[in-house]
Amino acid sequence: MTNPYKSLEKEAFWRPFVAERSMFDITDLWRPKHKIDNKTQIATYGSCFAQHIGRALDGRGFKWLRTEKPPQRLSEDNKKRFNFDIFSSRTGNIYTTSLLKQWCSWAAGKETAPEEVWEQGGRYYDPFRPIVEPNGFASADEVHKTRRVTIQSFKKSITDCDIFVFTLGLTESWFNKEYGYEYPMCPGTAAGQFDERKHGFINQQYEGIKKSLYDAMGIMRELNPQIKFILTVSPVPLTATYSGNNVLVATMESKSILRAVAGSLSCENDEIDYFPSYEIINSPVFRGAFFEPNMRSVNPHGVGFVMDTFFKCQKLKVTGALGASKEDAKCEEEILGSFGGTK
Amino acid sequence: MRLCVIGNSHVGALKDSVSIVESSGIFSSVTFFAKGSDGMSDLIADTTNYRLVARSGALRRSLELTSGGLSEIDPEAYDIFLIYGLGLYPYFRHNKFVSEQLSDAHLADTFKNTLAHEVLSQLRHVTDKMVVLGHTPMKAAEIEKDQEIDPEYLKNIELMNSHESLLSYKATVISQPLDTICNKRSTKPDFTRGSVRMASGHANDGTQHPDNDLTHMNKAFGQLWWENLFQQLSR
Repeated sequence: MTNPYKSLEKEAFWRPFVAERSMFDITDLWRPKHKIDNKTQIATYGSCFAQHIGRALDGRGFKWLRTEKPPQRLSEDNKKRFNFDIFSSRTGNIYTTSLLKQWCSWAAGKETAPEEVWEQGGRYYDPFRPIVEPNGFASADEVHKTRRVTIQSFKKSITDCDIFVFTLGLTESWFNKEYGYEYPMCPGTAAGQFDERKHGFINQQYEGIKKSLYDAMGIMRELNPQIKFILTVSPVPLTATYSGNNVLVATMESKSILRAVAGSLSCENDEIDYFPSYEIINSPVFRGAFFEPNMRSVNPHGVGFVMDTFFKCQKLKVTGALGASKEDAKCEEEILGSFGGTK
Repeated sequence: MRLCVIGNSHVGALKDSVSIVESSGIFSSVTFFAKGSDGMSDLIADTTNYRLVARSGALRRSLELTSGGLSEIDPEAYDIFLIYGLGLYPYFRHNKFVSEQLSDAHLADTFKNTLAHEVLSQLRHVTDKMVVLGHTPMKAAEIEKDQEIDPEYLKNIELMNSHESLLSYKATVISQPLDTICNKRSTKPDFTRGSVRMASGHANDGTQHPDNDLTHMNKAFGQLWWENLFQQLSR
C-alpha cells in the first residue's frame, strides 16, 4: 500500500527530525527562495530583533546595505548613541506593518510626513523616531530636516537593495485620532505627552496587518520592481500590552497573528520568503534555552544560533565567526517596562 | 628651542626634510620618536619619573632607532612637542544634514577617537609645555579642474582648536600647507611621488612606498610642512 507521505523527505517527520536528535543538531529549518551571496545588497528593518540580522550579515562578510551612514570617524559609542548601523537607515524600530507602510508612503511621496514635533524641557523629539537622538533635537527644524534625510535614505535603501528583510514585531499600535497617522511608541512613554483626546490605540488584526504589509510591499515594488522580500517574526515577547489581556496571552495572540500573516504572504508570492527565527527561539523543542532568565530577551547564543541557521540554510561559506552575538539590541519598546508594576 | 616630534609612519616626510629646520635657526634641535601604525599606543606616562616610556620592547627599539639612541621621552630635554599623524585627520562636517548635537560629537570624536589624543593625554601627565598637533596629510589625488581649497578646511581647524575637547589639553592643531592642497580636500599628487619609508626597525626601512600609496608624503611635502610650522609659530 502506498500513500503521499511515503515520498516525503526526513524533515517532514517529527520523530527522525526532532525527537531523535539533539536540539543543536536540528538543521534545514528553511529552504530559501532567494539565494544570497556576497554581492547581494540586503536592507533590514523592523522590530528590535531585526537589528541582529544586519549585524550578522556585516560580521559574516555580506553586504548589509546602509544608506544613512554615520559621519566619518564617528566613534563606535556615538554611532550607537545616535542610532547609526542599527537598521539600513535611522528609522528606529518599525514594529508594525502599518508603520512600515507609513514609511513607504513617505518615501514614495504618496503622503507627506506630519509636522508634529514633541517639545519637552527645551528639547524637541521626533514622534516617529523618539529615541533616535539622545536628549532629542535642538529645534523643531532639526527634527524635520533630519527626518527628511532619513526618509530619503529609507527610499534609497528600497531602490538600491536586492532583498528587503522585515521583522514583524507588534500588532498593538498607537495613532493620531485626528489625522490617522501612526506612532512607533505610545506618546508619553519614550517622549511626548499622552492625550486621550488625540491619541488612540488599536490592536491590529490579521486582515489589516496583511493588507498593510501587502500595500507596503506594493509601494516598494513601484520603487524597485526587482525587489525581493524575506519576512521574519520577532521571537521577543511584548514588554507590555494595552489590549486588556494578560501580557503572556497577548504575546501569543500577537505573534501568532504576525506569523500567520508572514506565512500567508510567503505562500502566495514567489518574491516573498519567510525565515523561521520565531520558531527557532520559541519552539518547545528548544526548551526556552535561548531566552535570558527574564524569558523575554534572547541571549547571544540564541541570536547566534538563529543567524547560523540563516547562513547554513543558504549553504554559504561565511568569512566571519559564527556563533554568539555579543551586541545588545536597541529596543524602544523596552521603555514600557519601566511603567510596569506601579499599580 | 628644542623640538620633540612624536608620530607614526607619516613622520617620515618630516624627517627626510629636517635639514630645512637646521638651517632655519628656529629650533636648535629636533628629536624624532616614531613607530608605524598604532605602535605608539604602547607609549605611557611614567608619573614617578615624569617621562613617557615604552611598555613594549618593540616600541622601545623603535624609539631608540628613530631618536638616535633614546629609549624614553624626557620632557625636560625639549621646549616644544609636535604630535604628528597618529590617526588625527581634519574635521569636515558630514555630507548630509545632522543635528548640532551630532556635529559636536563628531567634531570631538575626530580628535578624541585617535592615537594622537591618547599620546597627548599621556604627555600631559608629565609636562605642561607647548604642544602642536599636525594632522595626517589628506589623501593625494590627481588634480581635477577644481584646484580650490575647501573653504571649510581652515574654519574647521579653528573649530577643533576652540572645542573644549582640545582646549582642555592646551594644544593646537595646525593645518597642512595650503600650497599642498588640491580638489578641495586632497593633497597634490606630486607630494606622494618618491616618498620613502621611515627607518623604524622594519625590513623595508628606507624603501619607497608603492605607487598606489596616496597617504605617505615625500621630502618636498615635508619641507613645505616645516615652513608652514615656522610661519604659524611666529604668529
